[in-house]
Amino acid sequence: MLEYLGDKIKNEIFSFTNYDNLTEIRVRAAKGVFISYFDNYRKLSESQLTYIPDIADVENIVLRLCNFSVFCAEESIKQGYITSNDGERVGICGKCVIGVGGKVQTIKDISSLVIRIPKQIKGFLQSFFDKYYTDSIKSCLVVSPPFGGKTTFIRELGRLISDEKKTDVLFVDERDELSASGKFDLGKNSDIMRYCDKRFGFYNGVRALNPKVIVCDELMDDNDVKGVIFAAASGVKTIATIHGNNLKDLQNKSEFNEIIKSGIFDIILELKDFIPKKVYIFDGGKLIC
Amino acid sequence: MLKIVSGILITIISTILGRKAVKSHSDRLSFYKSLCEFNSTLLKDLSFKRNGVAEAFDKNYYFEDFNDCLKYVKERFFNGKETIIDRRYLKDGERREIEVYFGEIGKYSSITETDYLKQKGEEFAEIVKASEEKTKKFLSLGPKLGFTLGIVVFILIL
Repeated sequence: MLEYLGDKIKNEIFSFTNYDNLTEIRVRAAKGVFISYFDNYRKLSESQLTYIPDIADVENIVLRLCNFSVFCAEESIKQGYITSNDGERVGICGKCVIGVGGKVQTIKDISSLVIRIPKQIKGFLQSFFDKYYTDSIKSCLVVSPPFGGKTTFIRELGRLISDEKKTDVLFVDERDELSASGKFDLGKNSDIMRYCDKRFGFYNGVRALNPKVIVCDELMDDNDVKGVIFAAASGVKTIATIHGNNLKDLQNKSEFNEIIKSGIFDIILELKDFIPKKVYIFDGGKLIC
Repeated sequence: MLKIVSGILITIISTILGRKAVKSHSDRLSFYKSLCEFNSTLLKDLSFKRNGVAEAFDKNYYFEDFNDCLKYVKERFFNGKETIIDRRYLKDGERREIEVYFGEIGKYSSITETDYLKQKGEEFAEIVKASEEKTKKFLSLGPKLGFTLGIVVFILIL
């Protein structure tokens, strides 16, 4: 784990905490390495390592992340991240190289990395699942700002639907964060489409893989919304996440307000620290509780 | 009696040396043939499945000594260290070029990498072609020359 960081950084991190307690690592050339982790009291702590990486260290980390084959991570680098073999999403920051059509062609002179450590917490949603999913499977939209636990939530919800409802679930895993290259258990009745965009995942998934439920992370724009609408029109439920502080936030954004009013999502919940703070139940687009 | 035995030994050694002198040509040819295969594997893996460089390193190639060399290169490559090629049957300039080649693969976008591998593939193929012609000439010539030289020395001794 974290082999790509090199021995100096990795060993110092593990002198602070173990992998399971880590939540985030920030590597900044000429500035330092900063880690966030849960301490013994499950309180989020932050520390800085004594080791100060230089630009060459950051470059070497990126090369190791790509398994020394930059072209393998080419498409994800264009979007500003690389996913490690263990499913950590590594955001990369540097100088964007603009190519044809004004699009980012690559990122060079990488000076900092933000590594998010994914978690699987089995069982933490059992009471939620028992309360809302015993009678029927419902579409669910999870709203939270960053670090609220959205990905962990939908990973577990998808797994429970797959295993306990014995239902075919398709995980559209755009950045390999949901499955972490198979490291995480997504359920026996699950199919995982990795590194595809949501458009491909939804349209081709519905046509070719016949899922009853699709799970995906981070609805971002109109194209993602169209995928969800297409799935719903085909009788497929969607479990998805979206960045936002609360339901009101979403209602203020036109592309998402439409999808809320459309009645596609039976449940919209506001998440904080992995826990649903508010759960809204909809019926045909109308809020019932 | 001693002269005859010495003469026979000299003839045998001379033949073996003649064969060894040519072997370096055939080893060089085999190395480059395997390097062509390796480069071709990289290109194929990149073009379709976008497999990383590791897959090409894990395959077995035509020439056993190339496979041994590749194990060493792989260990250096995946630890971010420079490669040093020490095969004596390669010329100095060739050793350096191959070191540069292994230092460059995997560093670029798919388009640039493809162009680079295609260019190197053509260069290696040229070397193989020239080497094949040369090796054909020397392959039988070496042991024969060695044997002849040995016989001459044998006669001189007698």
